[in-house]
Amino acid sequence: MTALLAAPGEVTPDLPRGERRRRRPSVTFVVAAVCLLVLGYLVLSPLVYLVWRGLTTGEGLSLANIGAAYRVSGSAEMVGNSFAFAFGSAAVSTITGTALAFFCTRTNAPLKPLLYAASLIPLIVPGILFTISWVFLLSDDIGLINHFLRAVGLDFLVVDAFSLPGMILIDGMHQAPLVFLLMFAAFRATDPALEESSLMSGATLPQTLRRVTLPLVRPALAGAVLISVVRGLESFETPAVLGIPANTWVFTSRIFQALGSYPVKYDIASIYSITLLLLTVAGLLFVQRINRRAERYQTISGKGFRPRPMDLGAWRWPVSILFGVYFLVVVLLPLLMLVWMSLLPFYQVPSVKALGSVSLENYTRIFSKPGVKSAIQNSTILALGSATAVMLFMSVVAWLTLKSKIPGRRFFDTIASVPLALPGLVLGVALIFIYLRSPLPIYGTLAILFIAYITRYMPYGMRYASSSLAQVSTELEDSARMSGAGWFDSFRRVVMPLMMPGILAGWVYVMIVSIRELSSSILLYSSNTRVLSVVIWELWANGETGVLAALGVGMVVALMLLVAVVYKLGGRVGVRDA
Amino acid sequence: MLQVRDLCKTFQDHESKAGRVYAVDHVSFTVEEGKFFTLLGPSGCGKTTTLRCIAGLEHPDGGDIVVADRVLYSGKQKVVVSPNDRNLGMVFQSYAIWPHMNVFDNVAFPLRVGKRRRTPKAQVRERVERALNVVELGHLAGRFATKLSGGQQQRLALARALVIEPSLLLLDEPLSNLDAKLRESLRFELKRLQREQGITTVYVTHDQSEALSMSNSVAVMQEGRISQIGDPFSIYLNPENPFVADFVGSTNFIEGVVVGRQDDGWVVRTPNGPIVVSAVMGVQENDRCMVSIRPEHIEVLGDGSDSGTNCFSGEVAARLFTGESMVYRITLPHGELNCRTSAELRFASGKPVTVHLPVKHAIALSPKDAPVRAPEEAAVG
Repeated sequence: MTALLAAPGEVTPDLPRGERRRRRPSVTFVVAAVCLLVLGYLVLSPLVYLVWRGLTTGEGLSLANIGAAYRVSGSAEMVGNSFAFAFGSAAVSTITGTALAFFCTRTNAPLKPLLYAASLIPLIVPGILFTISWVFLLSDDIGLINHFLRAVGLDFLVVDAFSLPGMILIDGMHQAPLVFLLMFAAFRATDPALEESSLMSGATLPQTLRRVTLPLVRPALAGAVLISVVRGLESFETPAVLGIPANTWVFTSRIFQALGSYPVKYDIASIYSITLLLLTVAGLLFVQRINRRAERYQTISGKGFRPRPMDLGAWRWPVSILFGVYFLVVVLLPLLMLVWMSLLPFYQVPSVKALGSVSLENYTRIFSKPGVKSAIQNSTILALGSATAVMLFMSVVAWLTLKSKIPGRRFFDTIASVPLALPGLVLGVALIFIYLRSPLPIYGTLAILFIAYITRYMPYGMRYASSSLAQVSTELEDSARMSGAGWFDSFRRVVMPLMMPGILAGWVYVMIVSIRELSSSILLYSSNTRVLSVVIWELWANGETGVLAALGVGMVVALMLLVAVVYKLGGRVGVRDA
Repeated sequence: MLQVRDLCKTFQDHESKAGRVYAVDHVSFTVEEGKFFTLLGPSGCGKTTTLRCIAGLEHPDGGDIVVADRVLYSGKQKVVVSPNDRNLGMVFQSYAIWPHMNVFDNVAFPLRVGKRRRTPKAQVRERVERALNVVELGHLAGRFATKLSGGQQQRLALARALVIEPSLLLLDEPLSNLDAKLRESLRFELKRLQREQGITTVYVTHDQSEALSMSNSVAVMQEGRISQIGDPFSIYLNPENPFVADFVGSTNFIEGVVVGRQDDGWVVRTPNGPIVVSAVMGVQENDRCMVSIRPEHIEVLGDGSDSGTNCFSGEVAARLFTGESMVYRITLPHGELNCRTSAELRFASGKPVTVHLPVKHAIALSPKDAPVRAPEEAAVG
């Protein structure tokens, strides 16, 4: 046994010659450097150009643009409208979304599956289609709901879509599913034992709600409100479709107008863009602060618990009717209205008489419209391209953030998250500024749209990629390295396949949001590079609602099929249990 | 075969004043060809970090690692061979079986990547089958890895590590995720495989019986340092310090002072009277010391035989019947002793008894509160 272990001193008087290799940077380092360059270019260059453009005039650096932009008549009213619109729609979406999430997670009310559908489908339906179909449900003269309300003598409930209250209501309903999802997660994460022990202490159900349940989800609630406000400020579709005809201006519609008028008012567009950007950044920083504080409230213990539903007793059915109404209003009515519009050569309020003129003519006319075919092609290329690029790129960035040992790796996540605070319209403005002057001749090509989509959807890709990577144990990768695999092999053959479910989910998400995308595209398209959402916008401007609706129905069906197919396939990729 | 010299690895620690703490603190050892070497210690003692440094998965801060005359790491020469170029086999605590591949592909992976990626297909098949047969998984080659039981996964991980015919096999607590019965049978299995393949092995565990039963030699680690290094017998029977005595097996400590030599050993004065010990470690005459004696070595006798050397009278405070043995806690005039006897010997609680501490099993160690001397350069016996 002694021979086994010689005293270490006499082992190696001089070490055998090591493999002296040329010192070259490690693969990880090169990958990190490339990622940092690309990220920095995509994220920082728009911000820098935007600020630069806003703060310079012909004579050099100055603040003159700011004063000029806010001296335009109506600008005070515009700021007021923006806030009223953002906070109003946040109130609508928070109240409905939170109430529904509570009933869905905590009570035994029937019809819950309707709510899941109601939370997913609006994420698929493009905002422009949602808003347009609401015009036909809620406008003062031809709105179906208003007709119905007048018919039953409830005139005082009539809201005109083309007014600030109408905009707030419609945008709020479009945001409600987002709040529902956020609050659903929050309610699910709260240990029901906390409520049960309150009940056991003698508190009544309403007391428990007020003193235990709500305080526990308060951070999440505050976060949801702020996110809704930020989304309301960024919202373009509703203010453009409903606000402009009603002469109710907000930041986004003013920026759009400034760039669409002649001569183009770049100064105003840049100043309003910077203001909007500062507001959204402030809002999201505040959300982040709340979330960080909220970690103290966290009651997630790691072991799963299934909340025991509260018995609503006699209230079960009234609550379910509420679910039904929500589903009807947020999902069914807009879609049905779209279908109805697509079946008529010119719009008529639904009636038996109108049924006579129903035909599929609009669907055949879609392809005779100039530019539709190429728009379908462009949208498909862009969606496939940006989804694939975003997910591949973000998988690597997520790996660098979570698994590599390079210093400052957290920074990657921070940069990749910045576009969350970048409204689509503002990004569009910034990209115009860059590529009008840039020697890179991509202005007016698909490439500029591609850059916009990748930048906008990176943060979402990052979330999907990093949450699935976090579940991949480091040892799985270590063992690939020990087996002789280099960085590229171990990433491609072990890490990526194990992340596949997350990558695929993120890929579908980015596909969908790319096809829906309007607010950047509307500023960046050219006559050769129209995309579907832009075509819908133009059809709306030309008043061709029939063809618009037919195209819209086609889009929604195609997107739903895509989701269904990919989720069906999703079971068969990645980790196999069977 | 494997030489580790003055290996250091520090981690950032915001609480300590220096800002860095040593996870591995100047560790040196050598493993000869074909031997089974174990790093044993409590969690956080640096044993896994040492192993990961050898694997190349951690970047050490200093020292040398040489395997089969090839320098894998040298702080001074600035040599760092990346883990994929080290040709070492490793089995991880979680086995790290890739769930998206079947059994065959898991084992074939090392032959399809990196420097070995040009291995001809026929040879891949042959070598994978050979490796699977060695661990007796040949019949499961087409099965999905996630469908294997814990023990099978463990053997699969072993096959994957062996297929590259590594110069060194690294095992990171490979048995700790298995239930007790399976663990025992796999111990024999692992030992048999290691001996048959003649592969030099470094094994990391916190389980002392695993370490003692499988190894040719054991290094007991504490706070990043090697506390004692030696074959299993010397580690168990001749611990050099109280930490090793206490961590490997269990022991009783009795404080005392060494007072002098005697023909069959040394005499230690304790509050209960003089104890004769067979050896002293790191203490000299007139030094304070700790007498260490293991529970199973203490003889518990009936009352009234209070005469011989190292006999003390006491009283049964409590007893636990564990099935294979009887554990007594015996109160002496000063302090208590734990004793393990055969289950047939039954004394009721409160009964006066005499305990005998056999001289050959009693040793005097340097006291616990004295800084534990790191025997880096200690000769091994």
